[in-house]
Amino acid sequence: MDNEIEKLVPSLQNPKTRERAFSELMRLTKRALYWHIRKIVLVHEDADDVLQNTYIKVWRSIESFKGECQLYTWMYRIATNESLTFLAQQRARNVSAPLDYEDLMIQRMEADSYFDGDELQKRFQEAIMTLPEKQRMVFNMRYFDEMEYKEMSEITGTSEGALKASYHIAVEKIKKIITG
Amino acid sequence: MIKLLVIHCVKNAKIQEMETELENVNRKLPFETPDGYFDGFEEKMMNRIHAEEVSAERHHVEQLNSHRHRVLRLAISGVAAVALLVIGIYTVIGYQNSVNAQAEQIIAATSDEDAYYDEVNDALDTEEIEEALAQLNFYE
Repeated sequence: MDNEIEKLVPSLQNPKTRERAFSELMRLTKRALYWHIRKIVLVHEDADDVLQNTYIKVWRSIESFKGECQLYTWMYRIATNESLTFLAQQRARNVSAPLDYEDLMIQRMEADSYFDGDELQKRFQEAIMTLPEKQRMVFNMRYFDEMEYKEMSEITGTSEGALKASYHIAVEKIKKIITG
Repeated sequence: MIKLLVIHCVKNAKIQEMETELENVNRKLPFETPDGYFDGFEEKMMNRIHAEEVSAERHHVEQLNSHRHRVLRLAISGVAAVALLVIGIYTVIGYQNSVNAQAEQIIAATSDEDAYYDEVNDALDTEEIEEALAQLNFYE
C-alpha cells in the first residue's frame, strides 16, 4: 500500500490531477488513519471530526510536501498532531468540570454506542487512559498496530530508544493496573 | 539464599501472570464504526473541501474588501484633515488680514485727526490762543 500511496505524489502536486489523486489517497488511507485517531480520541464522532480536519490539512499543504519523508508517514504525523490538539482543546474546555478529563473520556467511551468491548477490554482501555497522551499513543501504535519503532520514530519525531523506553514503561503500568 | 530464590521465583511467576493477562486482552480494538461509515467518505470529504475552499475564497474577498474600505476611509479622513487644516489656515490668515486692515484704518483715521489739529493749531496764532484762554479765565 505504501508504494501505491507514494506513486500518487506527482499527481497530488499537479493541480489538474490533484482532485482525483486525493480521492484515491483517501481511499487508500482512510481506514488506517481513522483507527489511529480513534485510539487516541476514543469516541467515534470525535474521530470523524479529527479525520476530516486531517484530510483538509493534507489537502491544503500537499503542494508544499517536500518528500523528506514518506507521504503516508507525513499524513500519520498530521493525524497525530490533530488528535493531540483536539484532546488539548477538550481538556481546556473541561477545566471547570467536576470530573477529570480522563474519567470523562472513559464515561464518553462507555456511553458511545460504537464501543463494543467486554469487561476486560473496558478495564484495558481504562488502564490505557491512565497513560500520558504521548505514551498512550506510543503504546497504541506498538501494541495494536504492531508498528516498527523506526516508523514510529519518523511519525512522532522521537528517538527509537526513547520510544522503546516509553513503551516498556507503558506496558508495566498497564499490567499493574489490570492485575490490580 | 533459599529465601532470595523463592522471592525470585514468585516475582517471575507474577510477571508471567501479568504478561499472560495482557496477552489475553484481545488485540482487536473494542470499537466499531456506524454501518457504511467509510462508504462514500471520499465524496463527502471532497464536497467539504470544495465548501471550505468557497468559504475561504469568500473570506479572502471579504478581507480584501474590508482592507480596501479601510484604505478608502483612511484616505478620506486624510483628505478631510488636510482640507480642514487649509480652511483653518485661510481663516486665520483672513482674520489676521482683516485685523491689519482695521488697524491701518484706525491709524489712518488717527493720522487724519492729528493733521486736523495741526492745521487748526497752525491757523491760530499765539495771541489768539492766549486771548481765548484769557476768556476762559485760564490765567486767573
